[in-house]
Amino acid sequence: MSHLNLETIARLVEDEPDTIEAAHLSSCAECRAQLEAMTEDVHALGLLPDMAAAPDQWEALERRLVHEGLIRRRTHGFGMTARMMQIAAALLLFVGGAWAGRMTAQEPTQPLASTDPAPAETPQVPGTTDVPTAVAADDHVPPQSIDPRSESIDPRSDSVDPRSDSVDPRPAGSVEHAPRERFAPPRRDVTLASNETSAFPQPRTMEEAARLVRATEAMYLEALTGMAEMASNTDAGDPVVRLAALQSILMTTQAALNETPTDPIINGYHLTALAQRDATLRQVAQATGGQWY
Amino acid sequence: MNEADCIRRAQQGDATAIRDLYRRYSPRVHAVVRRLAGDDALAEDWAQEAWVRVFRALPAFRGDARFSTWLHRIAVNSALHGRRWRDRRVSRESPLDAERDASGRTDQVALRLSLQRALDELPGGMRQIVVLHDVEGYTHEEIGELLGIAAGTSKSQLFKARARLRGLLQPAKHAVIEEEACRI
Repeated sequence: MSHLNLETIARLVEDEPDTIEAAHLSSCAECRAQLEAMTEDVHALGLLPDMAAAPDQWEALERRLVHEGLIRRRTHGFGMTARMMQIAAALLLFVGGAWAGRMTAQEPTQPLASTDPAPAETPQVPGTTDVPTAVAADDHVPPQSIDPRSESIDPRSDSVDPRSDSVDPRPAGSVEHAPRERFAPPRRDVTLASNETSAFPQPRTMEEAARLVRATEAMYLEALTGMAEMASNTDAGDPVVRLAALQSILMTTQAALNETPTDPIINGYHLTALAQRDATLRQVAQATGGQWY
Repeated sequence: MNEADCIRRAQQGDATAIRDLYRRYSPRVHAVVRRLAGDDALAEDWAQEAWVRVFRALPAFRGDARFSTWLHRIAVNSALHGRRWRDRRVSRESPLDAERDASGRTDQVALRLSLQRALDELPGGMRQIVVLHDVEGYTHEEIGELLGIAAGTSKSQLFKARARLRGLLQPAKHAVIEEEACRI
């Protein structure tokens, strides 16, 4: 007598046997035993328990999750993640840009480039050494170090300068932190006037390009600072609120800098926020008669 | 922390919540992946891949399905993907002629071990169908969808796999019966 093959028996674990198969099963104890055993196998397969993963699997997984940025292993100051800081920095750029745009729109008669009598010679970026790089959040960059211009070389006259010494809230004897007397276009070897962009230097090396970025960044920073100071006379917004916001941004960028101290973008954001905060501080000081530093 | 809180926090990248989810579900994930892999080392790689996929996809998890179901599906998909990738690179011979340890015990642990061993010895294609159908409870339609085959193909492959499995278990069962007979 030929037996049912194992594949047929496997099918009969779930399916009903046809008449021939049923007849065979009723007369063949061996095939019945096979069917019973296979039914037990399938039942047992369904009851197989879970299995513990290797103890070191989590460590390996965690490393990979951290590497992929899927897990927040460390929190920085103020509970912010690196991603949040990136977002905050992007926000800073957006808000700063919008604000600068608004200010520019308010004072169309004072475009920086048009009042800028700075020399228009071809920039010599590699020689530029007075460009600020990363600074700590609490650093108040001495005005002399960032703006080495003297009265004698300041090409603008008092009539152009929106500020005068009379609004300087600091006492006359205060020389330790020399006041940023007025906004003047930066004494830079690089000029960004729109009609001179064609003369914008093309860096030949990576180092040169980096210096150019830092130089233009510093120019941008100073331009923004100057704009903020000029706007302080007309800006109807609450400077204290703005100051608080800027302080918050500074704390964020500082935390980001602690993690990536050489990141040029974050450094740029940080410097911009720093300058904005200082300008706002001056604005608040002017309003209250106090000292901004 | 309940599961919903845990998931919500894990979606935000919270390390503690992510580890908590891993602790809760790693035995389930490891079991399905290990059985589909048929090999401890492969299973570790695939399980890690499955978890990375889970945490990548977690922010998009909206709770439409139970988390365990969602997770299980990702683990299965990940293991099947791993198998396809491996099959493309390695032509694997089934070690059907390997010596089998017939010294089983009569308790359930021994039966599970025998089943697991037999599963590991099945050819990869057969194993994944047995694991998906008989261990994990997928229907032939679902298996067909997962593997890109017809439900009828899944069914016929399952019967072949069960027959093969029975053949692999047979010596062990005989040994158990003989051992029991000796005890009596």
